[in-house]
Amino acid sequence: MSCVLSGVRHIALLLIALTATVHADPDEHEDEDAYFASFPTASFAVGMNGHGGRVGGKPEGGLGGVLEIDYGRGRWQYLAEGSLETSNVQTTMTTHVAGIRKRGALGMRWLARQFIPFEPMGVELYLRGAAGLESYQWVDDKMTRPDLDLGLGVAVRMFRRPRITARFDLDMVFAAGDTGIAAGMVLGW
Amino acid sequence: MVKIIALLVALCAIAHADDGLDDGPPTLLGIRLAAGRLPVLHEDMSTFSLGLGLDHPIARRWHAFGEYEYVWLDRGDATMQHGTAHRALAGLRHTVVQKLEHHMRSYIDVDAGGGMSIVNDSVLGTRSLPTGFAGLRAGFDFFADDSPSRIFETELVVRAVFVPDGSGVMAGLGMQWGN
Repeated sequence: MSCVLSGVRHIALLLIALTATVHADPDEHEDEDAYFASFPTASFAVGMNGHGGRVGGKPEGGLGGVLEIDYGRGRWQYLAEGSLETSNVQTTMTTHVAGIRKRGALGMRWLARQFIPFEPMGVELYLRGAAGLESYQWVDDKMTRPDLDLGLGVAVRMFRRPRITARFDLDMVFAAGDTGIAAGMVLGW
Repeated sequence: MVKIIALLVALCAIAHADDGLDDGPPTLLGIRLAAGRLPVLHEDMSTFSLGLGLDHPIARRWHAFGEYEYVWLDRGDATMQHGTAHRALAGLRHTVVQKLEHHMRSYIDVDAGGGMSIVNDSVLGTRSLPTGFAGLRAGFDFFADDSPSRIFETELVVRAVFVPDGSGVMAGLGMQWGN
């Protein structure tokens, strides 16, 4: 647990440094940011999520749904997300234990690139980070642990009504010495 | 770990610093998903990686680039053994063949370079592996002058990867945006 908290502190400091770096000269970046089609002020997204990794060194993975509420400001989007997924832990080479995984997280997303081949549609690249809490409940055990995810997203976004975004997210998830991967496909409005 | 994330932060800062809307050659920021095989201590492992890279034109038909990849290692036999790796690479890329059309370019490039991989494996422990590579890229560039990102590039990458324990291979799909 202490190594996780140490990691949380390091990554939080680095995220703050990143935010400070990109906001170091707001006047300089104001015009550049204005050139991008901003995130909508309020939006939400729903979709499917999958994850795979290790729990206590054992292979674990699952699938489920994810819900996300976002607040956008320029090229930054602040997000709160929750997911409910299955969790299957491989206990030996031939057996596994089933359960569920609940996760909630707070994070932010930065619109790194935006290619607009024709109005009103763009192909976008996001970089994102979030800190969360994941809770597992298996038939014979349960566990809760903090995690951090760093990742990216690629989206196709319509800037006019119905203002739909189809986004593919891919993240590295760090939790208590185990590193996993999470992928999601969501539709946002 | 922290150093690697600091490297990511630096990449983000560089990418953001390049957001100026001048007419200079665009720096490309992009991602890549790849899979392959890599020998580590003579064990042949499957790899799956997620990469982030920067690419900048330095001369006609020449680009310099830097990449960071997070790599998952798997022995593929459903054992409890597993590993991950951080891979940082730099290299040069040369366009061999290209065809320009209206708002589009198709190309075939060769690339080569080197760097370092830090492997953390549940059986083998932590190892630093000097890494070299050489390969081919093929894809399309799409252009839009009035877009925040003036170029959108898609690519297919195939590479031979050289480490002290032998050579492996990787293939991946990537996308890059150039402001």
